[in-house]
Amino acid sequence: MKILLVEDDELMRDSLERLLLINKHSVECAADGQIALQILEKAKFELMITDLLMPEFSGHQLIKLCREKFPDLPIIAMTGYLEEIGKLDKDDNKPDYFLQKPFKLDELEKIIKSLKKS
Amino acid sequence: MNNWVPISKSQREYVSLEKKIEDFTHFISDFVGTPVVFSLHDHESSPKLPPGLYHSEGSNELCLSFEEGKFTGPNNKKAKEIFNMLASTRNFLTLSFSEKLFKESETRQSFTFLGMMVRGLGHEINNPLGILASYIQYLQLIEENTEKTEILQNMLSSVFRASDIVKQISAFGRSSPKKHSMQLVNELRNSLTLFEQIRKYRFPDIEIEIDIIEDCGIFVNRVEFQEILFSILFNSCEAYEGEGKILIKAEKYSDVFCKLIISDQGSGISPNILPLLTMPFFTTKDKNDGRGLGLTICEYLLKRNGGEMVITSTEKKGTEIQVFFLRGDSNENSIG
Repeated sequence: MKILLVEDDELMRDSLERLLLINKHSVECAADGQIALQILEKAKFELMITDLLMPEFSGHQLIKLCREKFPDLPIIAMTGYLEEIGKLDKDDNKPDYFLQKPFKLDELEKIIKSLKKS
Repeated sequence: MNNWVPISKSQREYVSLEKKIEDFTHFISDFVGTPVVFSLHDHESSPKLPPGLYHSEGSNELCLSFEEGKFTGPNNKKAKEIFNMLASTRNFLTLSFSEKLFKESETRQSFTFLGMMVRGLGHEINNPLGILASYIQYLQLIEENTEKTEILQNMLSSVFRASDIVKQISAFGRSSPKKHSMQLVNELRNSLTLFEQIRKYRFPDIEIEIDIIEDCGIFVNRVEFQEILFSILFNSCEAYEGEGKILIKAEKYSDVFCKLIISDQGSGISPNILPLLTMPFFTTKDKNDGRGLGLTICEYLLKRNGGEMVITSTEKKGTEIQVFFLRGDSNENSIG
């Protein structure tokens, strides 16, 4: 799958990119939401995995804008902060799935598999 | 000289007064978010205050003034019962907080300093744990040596173990639960249907039976009601080594509370251990199975929903847990 990974933490970005690449996905990375939007304007992706709690431009804002501009893009939201998950109830910024860090690879692969089916 | 102002009802918390007033004051201070001084006066010595609840303008003093049978504070019927109980048993106390005090603590978005710290914990610790988990799983995929693979698996298990503890501790940093009125038996049945999904594979030899003595309305947060019940059921299931039955009775207790009684005939708990059950990190289980936070969080969630828990047990005979929930029959209880 062609995946856009949006994560401000360098190590999280690196570790997740390695994990996705070794599972034969193609990955492009963005360190913040603004860069992610620029990338999305230029290329088509099959999935976006984004962190929620990012400085300046949060994952919530990115998801809301993606729903408007790229409504067909499946989105997985990641977070280490449990209460952020509760804020995902609003329809305009709801991802397709959320993942709480740390997560197991097979959990992510199950989600990717079910996205491929639909 | 204090200027005592009657407290208007907007939020109520029922608290057990079995511990000293000092512990109680700390609890209220934590709840309100600022230091609170609490004094208990009887009608004879109070500064000519009619029976009721007051807070002192300009300071954070709360005053409870009462005379048995003559309480005229907010919510007369219920408060009267509670104050009568207080006069005779001093076990339960109702407190009303002024809207202003409560709203100020909400606006500051720091319910308590501890709550603030704990809410950050989820993010600050889960992020590096997430990094560790990703790197370890990556190494597992490229590692061929069996010994190293085993070590990596142990490392991964430890990461998820740490994450479980963070999740449980984070329960203490949650914001105030939104409570609603609902029917006890309905919530009990729904929760048991959910629990059945776990029981089927984890405790296949345990049977759970319900005995409804009477139904009543309760005033709780639905999700926290389930968490409380699950926590107790887990402990009851684990009290048995093989087959066993857990009985849940539901009944009204008083005008203010209703009660669930969850009993098992499992291993029971010794009198030395009984008072330690809700202490953080105390566990009788193997360290890989139990973190020792289940009943701690259970009691915490129950108290912040206005409830109470009483555990009695006899070794080798079994354990009975009485769980008291606030009744939610009247309209005034639809406070979020």
